[in-house]
Amino acid sequence: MAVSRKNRYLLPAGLLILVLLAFADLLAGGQALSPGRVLSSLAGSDDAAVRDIILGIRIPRILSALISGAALGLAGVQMQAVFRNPLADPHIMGVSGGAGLGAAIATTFLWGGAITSTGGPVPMALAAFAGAAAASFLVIAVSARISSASILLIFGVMLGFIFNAMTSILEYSAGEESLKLFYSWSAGSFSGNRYTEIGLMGGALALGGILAAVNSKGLDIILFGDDYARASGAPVGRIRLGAMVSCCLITGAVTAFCGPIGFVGIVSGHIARSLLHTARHRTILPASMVTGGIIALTADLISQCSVIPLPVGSTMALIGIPLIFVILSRKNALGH
Amino acid sequence: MLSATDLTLGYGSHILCRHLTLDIQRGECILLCGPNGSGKSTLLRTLAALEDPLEGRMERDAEILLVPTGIPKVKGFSLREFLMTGCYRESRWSGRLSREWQEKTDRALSQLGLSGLAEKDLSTLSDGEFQKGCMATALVRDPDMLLLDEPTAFLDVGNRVSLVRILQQLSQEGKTVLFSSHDLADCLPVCTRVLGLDGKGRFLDSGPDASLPRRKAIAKDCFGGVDF
Repeated sequence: MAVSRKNRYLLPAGLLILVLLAFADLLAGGQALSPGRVLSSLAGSDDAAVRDIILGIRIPRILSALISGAALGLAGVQMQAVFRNPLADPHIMGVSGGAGLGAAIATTFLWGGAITSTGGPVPMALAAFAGAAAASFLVIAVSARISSASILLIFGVMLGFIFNAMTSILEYSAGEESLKLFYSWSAGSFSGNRYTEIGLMGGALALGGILAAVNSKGLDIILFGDDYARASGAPVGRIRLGAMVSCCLITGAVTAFCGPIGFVGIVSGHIARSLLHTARHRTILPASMVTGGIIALTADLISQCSVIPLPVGSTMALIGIPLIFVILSRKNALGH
Repeated sequence: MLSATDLTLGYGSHILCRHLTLDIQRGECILLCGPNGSGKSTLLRTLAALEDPLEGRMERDAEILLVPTGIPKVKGFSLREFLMTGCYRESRWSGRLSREWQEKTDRALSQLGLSGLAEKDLSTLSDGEFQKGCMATALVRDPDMLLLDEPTAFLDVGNRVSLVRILQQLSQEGKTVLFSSHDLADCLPVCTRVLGLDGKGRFLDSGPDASLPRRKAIAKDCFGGVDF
């Protein structure tokens, strides 16, 4: 009972941290803004320059970070359940790499440009989704034959390397300007998205979130093994498929518009589990969205405050890798 | 209750057992024994309809539930929540149970003496407590027949004896119990029938209500005549 009383305060506390981080991120950027100027601009002051910065650059960047963090947190938790592996996430299992390659192929061969939204944001998201789906299909097909979680993890990492190598080949064939765009995309960034792209990411997150919520009791039962789940009458194949479709949707959209962003998917769920002392997906799915949002906003804030240009993907790695070491050093990660 | 006629068990071209014919009646307490890799788990999974036989016919007119072996103790689930996951078809989409099913969960916990552990995290339970918890997940749904794959594996003597007594009691209360085990000394005296797979494709059956010497002879035959 003591734990559940504590849990009741953790969600509002997490949301409050999100709001505070989002406000701090509003102040940070190329041009430092005081809290007073930001607040008066949000209240509708006629300082057009500040309003343009806030509405045109910073709010889209913050929304991109929030949605990406929440989405990747959600995807990571689902993949950890599907593969019963505490280190599974879209980045490690090659799904982000697949999404990136899908977007790269589409933009290079179909629209003759670089990784930008030249072909329009919807086809770009669809191409990334197709790439993510192809990678997921490969991982699921292999997981049906390989029961060892560690070998499957190695397969995912190798798959990611192959996809990244293929994306690099496309980079080489791109022109100088395209190469620059390729590079900035592959480093990961929450900047530069318009409200259309944010809407698409939000839509994908909503769809993926609904799928995950409907699937939550299925994600619970597959943690106890396929035989137990089947003996209890659970449709294991449908549960896995639902989770992977949800992961593909959200990973595809996020990777298309923010680049491949790692680590947040792995750590969000573990932080949520250790704070809430539960592994039930009914609680952990929304909680990992909050922790994912907090991590992504923190990474963005650090990138914005840095005196040297710091791509958000690198910041995420700098925050995420030590956290992963902590997870690895703890016994019983994900209950195993 | 359950009958199997001329079953062939195996995977692809690897045959584990041929010509397996079996008829199980209500209230039997059956021990399934045999060397590692002889097909005990495959037989249990086939009887539970989780796997199809390569050949043969099965008829079931009862609810049969399997408690598989090797269920992980997932940290972050209380024993009660673990039991709730087992009620997959009976729970709402969020995993919540109706009052009626909550009462069934409480009854199963109390039947196995686990009520005091209901809110404990699975990772803090002993192997014996967790194994009883696994049995409770099946008892919640009140099946006619309970299949258990190696329920006594990794348990100390005290827990082994306690678990085998529970199986005996369940069968005396009218449930049919079929379980595999290597702990012949603890299990042979309490069961009423022994089934055996000898690892060379042969299926052995003592028949219902067999005497202890007959049950022992079948078990011995399974292991190539080794004394135990």
